[in-house]
Amino acid sequence: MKRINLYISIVLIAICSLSSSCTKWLDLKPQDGLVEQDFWQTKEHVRSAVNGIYISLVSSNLVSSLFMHGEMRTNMVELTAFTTQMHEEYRFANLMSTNTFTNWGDFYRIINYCNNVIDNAPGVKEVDPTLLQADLDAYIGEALTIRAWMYFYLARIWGDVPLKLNYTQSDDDNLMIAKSSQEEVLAAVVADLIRAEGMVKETFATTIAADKGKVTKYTVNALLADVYLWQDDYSKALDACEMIVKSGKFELVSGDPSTWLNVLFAVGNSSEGIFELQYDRQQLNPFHNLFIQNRIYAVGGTVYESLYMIDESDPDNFDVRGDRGSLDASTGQIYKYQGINRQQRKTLEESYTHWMVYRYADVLLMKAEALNGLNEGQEAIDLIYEVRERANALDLNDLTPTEDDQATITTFLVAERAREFAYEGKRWFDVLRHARRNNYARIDLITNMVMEYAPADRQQSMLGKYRDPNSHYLPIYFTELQMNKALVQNPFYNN
Amino acid sequence: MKIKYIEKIMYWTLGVWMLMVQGACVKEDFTQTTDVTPNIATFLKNSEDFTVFYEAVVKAGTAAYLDAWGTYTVFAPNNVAMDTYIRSLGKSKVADLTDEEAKLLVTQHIVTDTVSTGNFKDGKITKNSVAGLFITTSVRNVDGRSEILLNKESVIILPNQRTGNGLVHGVDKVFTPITRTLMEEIQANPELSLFAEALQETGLDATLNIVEEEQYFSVLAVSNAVFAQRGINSLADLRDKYSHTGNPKNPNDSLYMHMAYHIVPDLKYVSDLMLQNSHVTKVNNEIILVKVDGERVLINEEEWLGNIELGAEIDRSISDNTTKNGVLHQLKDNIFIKARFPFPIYWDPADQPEIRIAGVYGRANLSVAKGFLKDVSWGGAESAAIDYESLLGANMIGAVYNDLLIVNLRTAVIPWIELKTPVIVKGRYKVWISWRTIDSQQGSNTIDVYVNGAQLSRSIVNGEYRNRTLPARELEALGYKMHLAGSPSGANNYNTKMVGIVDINSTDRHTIRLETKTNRNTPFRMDMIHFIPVDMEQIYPVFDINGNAVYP
Repeated sequence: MKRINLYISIVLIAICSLSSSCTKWLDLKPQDGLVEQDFWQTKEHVRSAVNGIYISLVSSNLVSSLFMHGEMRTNMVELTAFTTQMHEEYRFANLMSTNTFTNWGDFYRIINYCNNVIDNAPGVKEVDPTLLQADLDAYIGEALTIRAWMYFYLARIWGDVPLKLNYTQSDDDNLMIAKSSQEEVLAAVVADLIRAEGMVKETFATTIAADKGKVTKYTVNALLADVYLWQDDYSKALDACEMIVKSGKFELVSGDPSTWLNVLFAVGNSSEGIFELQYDRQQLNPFHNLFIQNRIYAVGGTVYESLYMIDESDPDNFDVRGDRGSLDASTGQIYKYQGINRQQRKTLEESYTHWMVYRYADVLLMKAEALNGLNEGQEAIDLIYEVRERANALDLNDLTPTEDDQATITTFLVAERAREFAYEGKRWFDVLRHARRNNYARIDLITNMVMEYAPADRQQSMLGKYRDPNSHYLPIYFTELQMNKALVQNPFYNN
Repeated sequence: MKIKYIEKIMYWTLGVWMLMVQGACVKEDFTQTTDVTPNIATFLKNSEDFTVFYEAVVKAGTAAYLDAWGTYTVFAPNNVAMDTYIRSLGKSKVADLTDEEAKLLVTQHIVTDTVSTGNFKDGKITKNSVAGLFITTSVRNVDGRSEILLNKESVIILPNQRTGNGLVHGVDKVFTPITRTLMEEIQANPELSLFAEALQETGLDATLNIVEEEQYFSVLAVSNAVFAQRGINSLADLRDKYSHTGNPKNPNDSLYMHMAYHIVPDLKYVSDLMLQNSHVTKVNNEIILVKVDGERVLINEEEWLGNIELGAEIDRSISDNTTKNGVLHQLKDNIFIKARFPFPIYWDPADQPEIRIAGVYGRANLSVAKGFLKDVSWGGAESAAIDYESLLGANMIGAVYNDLLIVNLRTAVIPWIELKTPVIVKGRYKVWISWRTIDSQQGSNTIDVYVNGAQLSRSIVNGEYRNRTLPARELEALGYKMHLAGSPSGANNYNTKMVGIVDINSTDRHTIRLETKTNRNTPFRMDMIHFIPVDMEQIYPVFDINGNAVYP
């Protein structure tokens, strides 16, 4: 009998070991973090999720790639010996879908953080009644704005992209999303921004850094103006600019050479700033590395001489944005993010000059662009001069357009934007936006610029490619195509 | 008994359990290869649109090596292109081709290197095809759509297909074999009939018919219409205008030289011409100058003594025609050998474009790192810098343009420095170098001067002061002069020495090199370099600190 018991117990153990071991001790939650099911319970959760979005803007590669996409295809920069084959392919119009720079992962990751807040934050109100409706709206508005901002970039860099407007929780979600056209994406961006406009705050009433570093009504309107300009909707763009101008909250900082760089960039959050990504000692910007240490980008060969120009007769007459403003002519380095003032430079540890998303000068020049589109030439010219005079732009590059000469005003405006926003990641988009209007009536803006930096032995092929509008948008990265069968490659890269 | 029965069940259960626990030890079918990417031949075979080309590959006997280890690029014509080609030969299928035909067809589409579209430039790709054909690449824009064009005829329809041993690019047309020489290509074009006649007249046609390995020419041809612009309508006109010996076959005859001036003895596509600013021609010591103005490529456009001489533009749309022994371009205007008389160059070597762009020229000091100046290079460590100095102290004042180039010229720091001069017309020149003397307890360095690699007869000792007692003409006879005007406060400290006489053989930019074998810690402070034709006045003009020439 005893033996039988022994056998029975062996069999029991065997059965036990075969059946799966679903016991509680294997099912513990992490001790140092929250899981999804326990999140979205309190207003602090919402707040930290929104802060997480902001942190993702500065801690990811986003800003380096914004710089790259905005400047790589322009005459503002020159590549140095530290660059790779991939940089050269991008710069010299030889992009292929295997080039990692064509990966849009960073943008969609941030979009998903936003989608998470937009989808899940409203539910918190039911669980935590202390969450005020106004605060909840502001949080969602901020997420909507940043999502719109990301899609705005996607539409300008890749053209047609998939629109994903809800939160992706796991790989089980349907991710086979086809592309939406650029117009549809821009329309979605406008819809998000209009919705956000009524939700976000005008001021956080805490610190200046909060008002400049987080999304406010003014951020939303600056973005709206920009998007409207891409849609060639001048009157709406004008309204959005007017909203900011009339608020009276912003002004151009002084163009005094001893303070301009310091106040506007080195210190930041000036009265000119509308939305700036807030780097600090804990979170340095990537530019010391990109421009100084292992410098990939240097100042374009013609920038100082032909864009800002030099007054040979009077050394004291100079554009404050030129030498020791945006660039250091004697070393060919990009100076905007390095300078404390005209003489002193920041060290690596101090390299936390903010990334300007929008500042008041941008609003003034966007307003000028809208007015020019509405045939209000004189008002547009006045605004351009307002920005020029602040910086003491030289008469040498004053095109003196007449008020009914829309084309010259456009050329003047594009050049002035290049001077004003040098190395702020805007140049390519400015040129593209103006070139593509009226069925690419001003393609010369692109081809003339390309000719300035194209090497002699690639000039003709580069020009040939840039005459194809599809080449102005990047290919879809090859892994995206492999994983998402609904995507179709940009036709330019198929042949 | 019952117990034993139960015991049996127990044993069975135990046995089954043991089996289950031990797991399913079945032999697994492991993949033995490390890579499943097909090689080129397999890729073509399994493709939808390149099967006819694959048949040709098999027929040509190249299938085996296109499936073997190596690096290849294959420009594969699609099936439609292959059918069109075979039909143009009067045949109906690949099997009808002779082995020779198949082999030529296939090998002219293969390059033994991996060339992706990312490597394409204007002009030819780095390697010829196995059959020896150049493959040129360009981009054509049709109705706002850009496409990559090979040999000006085939469009890439499927780029950069990566296979195990290289790349496949699908193209829509079989490459036409190149059968003509340069001369035959010129003769085939009725527009160039006068140019062809003139070549025959001078006997240069024989040269342009030679097909030899590694010997190529580039011809800048002139059409009848362009000749007519200049009033030349027939060979007789040409002969009247140029042939001064009566025998155009004589290489010293001006007609021969005029025609030979249109031939560059090297393979230069337009993009290659653009890369350098001067190219030698078939005429001894005569070069063509190239200037790039946006998209326009201009031959012999230059500023000469303050005047702009208009050049001839290359007609890019009909240039870059590949032939067996070179490439044919066409000009929109004729080019001429220019009779130029030597004239003096008074050169401030610190006047470099990069220093001007930096905005410091005549204004501020600048430490110049290696590689910063395109036209100046020097020896020594990577960190060895030279100095541009413009803010001069009282005992320095006098330097022309108020600046000096300071080079720590000594064997331990910068043993040599090379500078590219401005364009010097061919002729015989005296070379003068002026510097600010430095008398140091360290002693002086002896500096040798070379022009185009040939050492000049006299060296400089940088501690040598100018003799201030001798009259100017006697000083000149000794090979020294004073190059400054007025009496600036530092004038006594400047010296100018004639370092030798040099024969400049071609009108071009040349190289001057300063080199020392001594190692004293006394830098060389260079002010100016003069190239003055031997038969001209050597002392005047002198210069003031603003760079103005002053005559007596």
